[in-house]
Amino acid sequence: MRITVNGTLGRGVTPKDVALFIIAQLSTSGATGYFVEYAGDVFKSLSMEGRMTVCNLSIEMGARGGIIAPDEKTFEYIKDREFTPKGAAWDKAMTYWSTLKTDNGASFDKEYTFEGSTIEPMITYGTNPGMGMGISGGIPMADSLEGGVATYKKSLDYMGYKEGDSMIGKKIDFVFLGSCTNGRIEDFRAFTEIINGRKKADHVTAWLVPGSHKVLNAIKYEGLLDILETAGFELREPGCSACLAMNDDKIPAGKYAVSTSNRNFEGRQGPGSRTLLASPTVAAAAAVMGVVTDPRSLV
Amino acid sequence: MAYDKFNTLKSSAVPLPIENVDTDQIIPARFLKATERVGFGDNLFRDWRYNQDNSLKTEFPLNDSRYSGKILVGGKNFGSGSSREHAAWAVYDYGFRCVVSSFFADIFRNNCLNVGVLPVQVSAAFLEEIYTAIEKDTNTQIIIDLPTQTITIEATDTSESFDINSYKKDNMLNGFDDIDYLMNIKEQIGEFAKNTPL
Repeated sequence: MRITVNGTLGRGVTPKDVALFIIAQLSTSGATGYFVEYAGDVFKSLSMEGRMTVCNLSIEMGARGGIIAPDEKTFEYIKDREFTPKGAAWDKAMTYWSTLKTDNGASFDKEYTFEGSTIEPMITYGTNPGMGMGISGGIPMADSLEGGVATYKKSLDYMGYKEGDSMIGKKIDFVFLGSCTNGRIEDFRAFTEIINGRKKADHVTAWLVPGSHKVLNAIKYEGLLDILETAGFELREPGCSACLAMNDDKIPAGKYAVSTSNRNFEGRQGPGSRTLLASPTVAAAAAVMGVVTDPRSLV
Repeated sequence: MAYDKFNTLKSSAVPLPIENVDTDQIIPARFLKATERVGFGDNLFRDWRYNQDNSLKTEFPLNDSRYSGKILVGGKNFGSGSSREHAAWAVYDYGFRCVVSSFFADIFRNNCLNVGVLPVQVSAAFLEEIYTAIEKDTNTQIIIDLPTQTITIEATDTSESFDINSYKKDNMLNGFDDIDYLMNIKEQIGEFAKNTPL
């Protein structure tokens, strides 16, 4: 399957939003049985971190995986890393790797095309990653969806939301920045950009969890930690943390968490927890305002 | 043999008419830390079966004494979410040998086939027929015939055929996982190795 997103992204729209937008269009089973190639200007313009976020989320629409053709950015990203080929071996590898792209005129079993400028910052309101919407919109009405009305209503009941509700202004209790979806240095930069000069809302508990020690060190090295601490945040040790509540980082029953992870299933972040999936930017806006907030109103 | 051979199965069924049943419902992540494959059935659908004080949620189908059997009948897109094998283990360990749905998540389906749970994908209309039959008679018998790849509702004598990869089908019939399969042809592998110049 090929998914092409043309054009450019609007202000405050991140790779996570692109992925949540696509999943909302295709549903959590829309790519089952497929491997997805992402193509078009939007993916070309994304950083490697951003591309990883998009590919990482492919499984949330049922796909086996996601790929983006390697280009100069890819090669620049891997050059001189610990385990990449060096010297003549690098040149040889480059000759081969440069050929690893889809042939012109190749046909796909399924194709989708979207326009980047139509994508808003996204947030989920339900209990699967396909239940996402542009942050300024309203929760869809059950009868506007095809089939599964009972399951849909059960999901909204669990979340404590109603059809037609606006997400903006919904009170939140926790913010989780991290996971394999959004635990990279770029994600911490995006988060820091929003909270810089502001303060964490008093009632919000924020868990900021770098994806690795490498990311943790970069956060310190780039001076992001100082900004975060000034704003009332603290970092936790790298790991999976509240993404799936295997350790003690659990969201309590009934509480709302804006989470940059990949899954908002019932109880995913702890028994009874309620998860709103969003980008680091949307998570940061929620962390300082204490309610779901359009990050475009803060930048 | 990694699990009991699967040939034909005649059983009553447990209805779970919910769509997009995800792997976090099938087995929540906090139960993934066991180092052996047994015991996951106790926590199958843990948070749907039990309240937080560990009392039973009596309205949940698995806790409803009217329903029993080795067949679980789930809604569309069953098993979406993570690739955790524990989800398939939990279904098997609880005592199910077959999950019927109108659509399966890819990885869950494959995990099932590896651990002795037969995923049977039927049309949306046939799924409804099964739910209707169970509603009429909670003890209604469903017959799964793997050799002929058919599923039948005994009371109405309506059938549908289902697809399965032929390699996985042979494995299910023999009770083999992938390792069992290789062990079973170990001699041929040895022969091949002996006769193949390096």
